[in-house]
Amino acid sequence: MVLKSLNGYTQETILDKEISIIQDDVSIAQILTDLEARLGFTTGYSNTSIDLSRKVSVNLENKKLSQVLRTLFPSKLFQFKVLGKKLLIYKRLQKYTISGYVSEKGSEEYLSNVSIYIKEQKAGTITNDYGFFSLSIPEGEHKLLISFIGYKSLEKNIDLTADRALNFNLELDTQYLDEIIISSDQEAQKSQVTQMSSERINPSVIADVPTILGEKDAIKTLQLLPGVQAGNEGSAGFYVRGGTPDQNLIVLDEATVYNTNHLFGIFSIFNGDAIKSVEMFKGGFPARFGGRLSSVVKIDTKNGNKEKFAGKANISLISSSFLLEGPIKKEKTSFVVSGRRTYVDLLLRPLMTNDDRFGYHFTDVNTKLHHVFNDEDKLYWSVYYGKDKFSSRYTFESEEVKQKIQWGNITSTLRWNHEFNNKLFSNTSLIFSNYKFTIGESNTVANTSSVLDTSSGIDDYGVKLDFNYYPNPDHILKFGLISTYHNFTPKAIIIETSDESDITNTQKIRTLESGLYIEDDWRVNDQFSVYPGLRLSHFKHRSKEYFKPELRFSMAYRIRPSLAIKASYAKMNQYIHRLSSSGLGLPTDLWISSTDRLKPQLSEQFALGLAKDFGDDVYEVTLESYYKKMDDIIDFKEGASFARLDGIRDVTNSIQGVDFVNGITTGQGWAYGTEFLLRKKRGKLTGWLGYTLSWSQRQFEELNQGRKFNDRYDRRHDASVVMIYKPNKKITLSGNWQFSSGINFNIPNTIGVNPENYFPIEPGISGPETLFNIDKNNFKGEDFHRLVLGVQFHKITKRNRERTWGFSFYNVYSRKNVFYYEVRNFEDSSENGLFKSFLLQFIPSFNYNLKF
Amino acid sequence: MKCYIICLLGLLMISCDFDFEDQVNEEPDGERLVLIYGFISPDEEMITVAVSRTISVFDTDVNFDEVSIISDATVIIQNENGEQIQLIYEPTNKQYEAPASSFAIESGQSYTLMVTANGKEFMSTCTIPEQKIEDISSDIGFRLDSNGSRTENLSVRFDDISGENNFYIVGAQYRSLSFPGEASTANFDIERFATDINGDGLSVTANGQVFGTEEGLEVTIKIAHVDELIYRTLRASFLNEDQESGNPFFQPIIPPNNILGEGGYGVFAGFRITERQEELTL
Repeated sequence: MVLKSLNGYTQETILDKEISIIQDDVSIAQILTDLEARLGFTTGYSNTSIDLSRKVSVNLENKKLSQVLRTLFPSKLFQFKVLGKKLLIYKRLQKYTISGYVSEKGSEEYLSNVSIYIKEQKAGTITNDYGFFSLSIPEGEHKLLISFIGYKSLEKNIDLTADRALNFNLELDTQYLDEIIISSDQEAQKSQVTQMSSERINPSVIADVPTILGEKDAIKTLQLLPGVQAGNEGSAGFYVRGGTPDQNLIVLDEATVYNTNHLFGIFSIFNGDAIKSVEMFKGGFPARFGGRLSSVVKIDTKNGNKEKFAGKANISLISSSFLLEGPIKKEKTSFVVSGRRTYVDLLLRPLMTNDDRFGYHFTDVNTKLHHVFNDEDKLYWSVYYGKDKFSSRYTFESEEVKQKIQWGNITSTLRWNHEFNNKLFSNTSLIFSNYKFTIGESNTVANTSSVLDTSSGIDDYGVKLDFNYYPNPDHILKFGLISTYHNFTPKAIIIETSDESDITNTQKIRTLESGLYIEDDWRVNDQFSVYPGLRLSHFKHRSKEYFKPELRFSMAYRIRPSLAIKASYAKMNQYIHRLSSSGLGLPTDLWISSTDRLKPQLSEQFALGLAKDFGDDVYEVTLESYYKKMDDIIDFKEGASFARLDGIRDVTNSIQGVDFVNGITTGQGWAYGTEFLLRKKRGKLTGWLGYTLSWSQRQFEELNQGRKFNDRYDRRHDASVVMIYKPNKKITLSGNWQFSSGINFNIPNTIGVNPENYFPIEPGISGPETLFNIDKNNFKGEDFHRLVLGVQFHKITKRNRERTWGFSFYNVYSRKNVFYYEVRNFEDSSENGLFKSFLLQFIPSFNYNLKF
Repeated sequence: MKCYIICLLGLLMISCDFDFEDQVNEEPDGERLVLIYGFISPDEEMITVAVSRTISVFDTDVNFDEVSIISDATVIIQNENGEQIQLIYEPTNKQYEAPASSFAIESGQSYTLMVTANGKEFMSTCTIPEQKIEDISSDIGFRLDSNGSRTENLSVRFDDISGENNFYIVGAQYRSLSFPGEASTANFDIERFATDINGDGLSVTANGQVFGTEEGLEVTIKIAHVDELIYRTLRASFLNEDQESGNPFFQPIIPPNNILGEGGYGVFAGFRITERQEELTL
């Protein structure tokens, strides 16, 4: 059989026969007829694609028939094939590229993740973060389907005879307006994309999911997804697949955000009005992201309306916010500015005396300018400013104490989009990010004055180049590099007194973090797709350099058209770390860097899952299991830092006392579990049901006497139900219910003699006994559950403005969820008991929103 | 408007204030351990080691003072040369003691502690710090605390021993110059625990609350340069006691342990101490 094949292969065909032909100005048809007669074959061809009437002149001697035919049909699109005594001439189809942008009709806001699909060709793509797409398809007539949930789908017929630049406008679909849009990829279904462990949230979800005090909160909405867990009740910190909050890379318009909390974590810093989209990766990380172990949260803000001025104003129980957007030059330049401020301090001011005052507020401001130079070049400049401020002033006769605590972020990103050609798109970003925490105190006592300032913070200066290359519909290549200069100030202390010499001590760590990446979203065939990636990460502190290649890989195999098995592997390194004394994300937490003594944290995560779409794409279900191993993770040694918050001087002492070099211990962590998510995407009732079964453990050489222990936030079961019901255009009903197994607490359960009794320097105050525990996280707290309900009443006013009254009810059935435990005496005896404390019971609130 | 403010404040107070519920029934039972503390120094006249029992904090009908004492343990300290001394239980101080004159404790030397108690054997080793603080300066004055209250203050300064990470315990006794009587103890609060964290070799300051500064004070200041284990043990004890009620963000600190042997816990470590006495007036 093989020999027969080889014989066939080596056999001479008519194409190899030599012939001479001299003709002048005759049609190709005449020449073919002549050749057929002389060589004894017949010719087959398609009349529609091959024109034989074209006249040519040929003068060829002793040339093979194949060479003669190539002279007649010089384009390589023409192919020749011999079947017995029949010669087939056919033309391969020419491929052309359509490229362009998809934006929202009426505002010209670019839309990312929009699907552009050609059913007949089974070819499609999605727009990138800047609304750009590129799709290479054969010439001819095609029907394009442009679709994005929440917008009216668009069908466009094109006759493709050359490369085309096409821009599409999608119109908001009022039927689905404000409908829940939470999908990893609007192009199609979960089962159709290779990426796993990712979720996307649009602002309408953030607006509809009720949270505390009526604030729209992106982070608290993320906390309702499986695999993402909140910390204590009320905390905006989040723990992804057994990681810690500092292992989450939070990127706002390409800039890293270091502190995401306001008011000790009750609110997140992201103002829901300014957000365009939120995308989260819990595993299977694309190679373009790096620098954190556990998750990536990518938040993009709006570009601003290029057609008309528009805005929003919102008043809630404790804060007000606004958003204003519009064109500076129509269709060319737009702006958006939004702000938020709490005003409890202003309300309290009349109730305080001049001698004793205190106040607290936080502010957020987001601004963005967007300019379109032409179809190829676009510029974006975005700035975020957010700050929490606490201040107090005490006076007694001529003596005075002033105190202040401030913390916050500033980020600024300048981005330039450039389209090199219809297949190559680039974005260049210049990035600045700052986080600073300061404590100040000035004292005037007995004619002497003193000033104490303590601060910690980080400044980042970065440059990032990203390229997207679309060679054909089966590949989307992304590659680029990022380099960031980190300037850490773990501690800066200034003490000035009128009768002593001043003390200034500032610690600085300067490092350079870089990454080079390439990834390919490759659709091998209709059933199988892979997403390999490689990131080369580099970190430099003085003469110490770390070079760490990171492999990323995802794959999907579609068993049936709407059912896929997925798997992924991701290796991540983290070079900067947050030291947390409480684990709650307090501003006293310090950001520090890897050094020659402190190695980068490392994680490897494997995930395996199923994704299925059903019910006419209304429902989707995913099931994922993961195993994550973390090495060289850091923590404080026992007691090396603590949160003592009795007064501002205690906070200052807490920071001054932190030894971020000798007070740190390194260890390893394990996290594994299974996540389930069932989601309804369309209809009057939308929402999701999530469940996570998980384990999270740690082991440090210098904690818990070197023994393995359960992490504080090791929650065995975590479930959430989110529902949004829109019976008509006038009302939105929403609710979410959350259940979590209890977290682990350190409970001092042992009484021993006080060691102070045996040390020769007497303490000022000391008891004969001391309470302590020897096992870390020795007590599993009570289960947590909470129901939050919300209702919104919408009305379009006569001036065509949309007015919304919103009411929310946090912790509806007043569940006493434990915040912390305390060992205390019973009131009527000397015996001890364990008591629980709780906060944030039933909290009703309202907000008023006007859209114009 | 005023009504709104009152309602808002009331709501926030009710919702956000910490509240306490009845006791939790499934308490984590405490450990029954042999607790050993041995802090030794060349600068002390006695070598002392305390051996006691722990009980569960939730034990009922137990008198801790009665059950905690272990008076029949065998306590032996051995030096690098293998020479040993057995410490004898002293009921007044409730610890095992031996005069330093009979067994030299020397700086830079290592010692091994061997304890037999409750039928079990425990062991630990330590090395005595080489250096101690040279100069101490102090003065008295006033300061405002974080609540704006004016307090009388004893300020103590000394230079950090350069070239290594150091841990210090600060304390002082004082009595009035006008009405000398029994000495009182200055309250240094958390500043009792000092390190060179703000810079190697820099000046270290600690402030302690005193009373009666207007008449002048005779102060006896003691500063111990201690093994990190002593610092962490005493600091854990202080903070666990100080913060055990009312601070929701406080994580109880697990004290360190370098006692080997099942069921044993505690610290055996060394220190050097410097003492200075002076009279101070405003």
